[in-house]
Amino acid sequence: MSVNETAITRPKVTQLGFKGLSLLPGLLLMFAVGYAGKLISGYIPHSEYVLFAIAIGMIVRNTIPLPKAFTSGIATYEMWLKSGIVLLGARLALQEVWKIGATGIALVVVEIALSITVATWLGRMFGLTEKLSSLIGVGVGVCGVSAIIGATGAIEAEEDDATYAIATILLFGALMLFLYPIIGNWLGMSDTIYGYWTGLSIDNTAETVATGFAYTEGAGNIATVVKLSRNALMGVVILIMALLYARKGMTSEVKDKKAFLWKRLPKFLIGFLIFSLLATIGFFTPAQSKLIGNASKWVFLMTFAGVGLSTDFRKLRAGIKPFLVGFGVETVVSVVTLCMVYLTMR
Amino acid sequence: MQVFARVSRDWWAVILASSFAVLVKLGAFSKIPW
Repeated sequence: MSVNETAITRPKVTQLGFKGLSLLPGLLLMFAVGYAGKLISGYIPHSEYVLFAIAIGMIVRNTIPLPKAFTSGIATYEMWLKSGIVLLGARLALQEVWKIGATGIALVVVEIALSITVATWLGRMFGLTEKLSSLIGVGVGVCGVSAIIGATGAIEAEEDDATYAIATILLFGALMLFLYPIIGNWLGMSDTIYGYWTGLSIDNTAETVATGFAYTEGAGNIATVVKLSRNALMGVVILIMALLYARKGMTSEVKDKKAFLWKRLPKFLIGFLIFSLLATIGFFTPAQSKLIGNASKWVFLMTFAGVGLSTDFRKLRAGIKPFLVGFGVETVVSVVTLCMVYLTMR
Repeated sequence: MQVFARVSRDWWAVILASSFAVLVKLGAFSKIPW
């Protein structure tokens, strides 16, 4: 690259500073919405701030036309979520993570196979394309939006298919957020049962963490770890899918399988495990672990507000057929995983 | 500067959390009532 080209492509420090500043309105709005949720929950006994933060965010997003200045800041909510999960590692000993993860992974394998099978079967029944059915199956089975985006590239699906699949997943995520705590309370579920159920059956990581913490902190911790075991399998599932489509001659061959898997491994998972390891070997004092744990709660507060502020109901229209398939898969996965959890946890 | 643009959001999240942990270890937040 010549000196002139370098001068053209390299962003200046002032540009980066401006980019940082442009995030500020959205970040402040997320904090304000999250904090409002926290304040309201303080007045309502036995309530968690999570649902209030999300509900206020949704109301703001869908009733007030938000200026563009807020968009880029709100879009950072996923990064806050990942930072919060890494910090959460300091509150969970590695033995605990291993215990939840090991049981979780066995259930996760069954859950993923189930959702892909049901999605393929229902998709065929409703006349969806094979690739759209696969995307809905991967989205429900593995980890929502990231898995759909990853699989779209791997199986060379149409962009419209990805949009439909993402809309279906997000719509159900938004519904489950409010439904699951009601069902959990109605059935008198323990934190363990609710946490495993949520971690196994809610699709998008942000919604899973939110739905878990909307019940209790203990349930939120379990739901997060179980969901991380699902996320860890994302690369493997997408690779298998890509290989199957390649065998059918519908996509090109996967050349470097190791690079393929590494690219799709959620790297914040590594951060979470390192933090958990550090907490286990006593690198953090109990006071420091508590402080880091509290910080993760504040970061989650921003995240949940961001989830609400990003939920635009007008964009969740998925079309009737993908919606019905998504509804069917979600219902089967939700009921079957609940039965599995009840059977294994008792 | 291009290095910053190439780092994924996942790694940014790890960097952010690690920086916070380092500050905690240095005692930067010990007096803040969280």
